[in-house]
Amino acid sequence: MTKRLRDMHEFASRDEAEAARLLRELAPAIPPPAAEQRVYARLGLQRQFTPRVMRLAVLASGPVMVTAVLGAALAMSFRHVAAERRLSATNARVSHASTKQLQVAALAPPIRERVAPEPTPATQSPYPSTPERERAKATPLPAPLPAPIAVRRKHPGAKLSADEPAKAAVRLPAIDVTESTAAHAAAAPAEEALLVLTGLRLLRRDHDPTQAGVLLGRYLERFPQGALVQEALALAIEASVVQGDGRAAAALAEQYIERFPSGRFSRFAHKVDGPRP
Amino acid sequence: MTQVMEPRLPAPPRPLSFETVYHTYFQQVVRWMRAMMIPPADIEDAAQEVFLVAQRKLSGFHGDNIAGWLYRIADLTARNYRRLAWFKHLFTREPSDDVLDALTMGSTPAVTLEQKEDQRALALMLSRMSVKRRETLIMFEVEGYSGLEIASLQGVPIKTVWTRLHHARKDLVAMVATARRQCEREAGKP
Repeated sequence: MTKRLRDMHEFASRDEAEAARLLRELAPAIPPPAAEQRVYARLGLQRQFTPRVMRLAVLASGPVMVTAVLGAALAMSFRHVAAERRLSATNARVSHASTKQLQVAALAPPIRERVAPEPTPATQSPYPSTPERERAKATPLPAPLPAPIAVRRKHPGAKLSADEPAKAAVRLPAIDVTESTAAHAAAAPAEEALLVLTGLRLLRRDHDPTQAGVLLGRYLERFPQGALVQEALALAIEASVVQGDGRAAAALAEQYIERFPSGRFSRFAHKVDGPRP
Repeated sequence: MTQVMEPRLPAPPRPLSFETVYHTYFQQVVRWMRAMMIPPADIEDAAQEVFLVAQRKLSGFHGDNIAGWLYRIADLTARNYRRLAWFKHLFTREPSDDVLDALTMGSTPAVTLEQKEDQRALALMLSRMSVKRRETLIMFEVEGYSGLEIASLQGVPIKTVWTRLHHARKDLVAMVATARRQCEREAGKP
């Protein structure tokens, strides 16, 4: 039978004797007399209340969780439906506005004549005149491009021919924009944007830099202090570059750098104009 | 020098009722928890946890070794406690005072400062030992359980108990030797 280390009197080493001495210092664990009653009382309390409370909590948490999940799902679906409605309403508004803009653009030359009959010397064309440009100026502008989203939303099932949007624009009743200055003021930013946008589409999508250059030149003539002058100038530079007209491009780039030395397209202008000392 | 009590593992009368099991084994459970290095301040809570589980599962117990069954519950409870303590001291990496005071239970207020230091030193050494060896050592050397009783509680063969005890003693003596050498080195310094 193995003897306890603490009961031994002869040891193999000094360290074993020291270990036995340390073990002798420990007394067996005797809980205080009240501990048994104390723990039993706590157990009794827990036995009476805890299972019932826990059961109620678990039972109550089930419906609460289900309600919360259903509520969240409903809220998300309502939100989705509302977003869909808002989007369709926005699309309808956009389609209406685009139709009006097309109409304004179709009427652009008469408006210019009636509202601003005498161009100031500052609003001369920024382009150096070339025979090709003069010829392009003489030809009538194509009808402004339709807003594809608006047309498709109006007739989702119908197939559209190429000239149908233009016809639709022509068929629309004319608006007398000189009726009030407020109406003109409201139409001006839209027309401004439309001219630049049409120039951009002609240049980038239809690959017609000549018409794009004419349109952008027209913009620069009409709105020398317009909000989109920088964009129009940059697009005009690009149109000249695409046409291979290096001189015109350089002249436009120089003009851009003079007006907007730290503009958004100044790096592009510098490239076209050539590095400056 | 303290006297080692010779514990007996009484068998409660059948059919088992929770009250009988509780009153029969409360003191034993407390002693097991101490052997599992639960600090004295937490021993009552740990014992309560053990008996809560026992109360819940007693109806499903049909074996003979109720002491072994309770010991297993106590072991799992102590393991949870150690895991929580490890998490609590994750960043300090130092044995907490709770662990060092784990073996002070049962000592009278009359113990001297030197005895307290000895108890803390022993607790530090035991805390570095493997759990199974430590439990076997404390239960055999301090709590006074016999090898057969320990084997019955832990659910292992008696030879396993002796092996664990042998290695635990060896580890303890080695740690005492290391501590002595360190003391001598510090004393030899100018």
